[in-house]
Amino acid sequence: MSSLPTEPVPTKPLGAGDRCLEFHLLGRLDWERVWSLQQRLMYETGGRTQPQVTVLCCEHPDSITIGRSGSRGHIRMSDEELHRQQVSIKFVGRGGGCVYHTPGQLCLYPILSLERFGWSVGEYLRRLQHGLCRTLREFNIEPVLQEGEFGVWGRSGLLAAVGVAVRNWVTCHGAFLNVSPSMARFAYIDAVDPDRISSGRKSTLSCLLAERRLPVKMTSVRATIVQTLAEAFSCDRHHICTGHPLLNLRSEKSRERISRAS
Amino acid sequence: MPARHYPLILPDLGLGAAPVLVSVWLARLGTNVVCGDRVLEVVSGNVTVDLSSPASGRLIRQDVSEDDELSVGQVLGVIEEE
Repeated sequence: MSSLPTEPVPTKPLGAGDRCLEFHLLGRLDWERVWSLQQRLMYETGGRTQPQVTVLCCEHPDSITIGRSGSRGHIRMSDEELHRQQVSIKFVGRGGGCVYHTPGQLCLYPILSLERFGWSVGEYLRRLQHGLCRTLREFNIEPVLQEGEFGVWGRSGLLAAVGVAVRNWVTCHGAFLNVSPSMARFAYIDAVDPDRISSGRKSTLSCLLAERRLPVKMTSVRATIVQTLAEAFSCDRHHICTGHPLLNLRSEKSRERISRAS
Repeated sequence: MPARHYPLILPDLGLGAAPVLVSVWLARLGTNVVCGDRVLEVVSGNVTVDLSSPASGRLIRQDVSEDDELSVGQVLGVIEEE
């Protein structure tokens, strides 16, 4: 582990072009509903000519998503326990391993066209990581980076996991910032592939509350992250919206159809 | 006139020395694809990237398999224009 002398900074100055960030606060929402919305927004983003970032921000009820680097073997719960505790599992097409979603974890899903912004996949990930690091610093937490990883650690463990997918050069999925979740739940998963843990990486999951040993308000974190992501993505304007108009337009039937297709 | 062949090439993803691996073929060998269709998913640590077909036609070659480590500029498969 190393601290951050090499932390990337945006290579283009703020205000470079008419870039706008739309930040949607969705509250607590099932993963499937947010995924349906992401798919619709990816489609729309691909057809847009202006560079715009849409960030969906929400918390999920207890559930586990497994990225391409994860497996069922990284979950330390039997099927019976999962069923009893009403924890659902989804295999999803993003990078990274298992993520335990629970209230108190802020899920951030930025959707943008890399072609419109002129960024490589690596540059996008470095900017996302930069935004997360800036957020932590606003709460007096010194972020720690690990080589080859885009998540962000603190002294106590992994504070923000990153798992992204790029389809037709449009980003989806995103980052999961542990603010003040029930930490006991995190013991149920290996968040980092055990093969990589053996190379000396720290796998402990932690949160801002544990790192600071002071209460952290979710509203403060949300307000901060809007600013830091707008800066990280070089957006000169940003809007904050409550909800999203497309969320309520989708019928249960169409959500099921999209969920099956994904 | 012989059909034109279009290689599917791994672009530079800007991930430096991080290994890029084949995750899964999204199109089966011999199937018809349309230009822009996602045909191959690659993965590198925290990110998956779907690569799109460079042309409309038939996927006649899959040169890489699941978990193969890839290098920038490598030919991953070939589309035969129809």
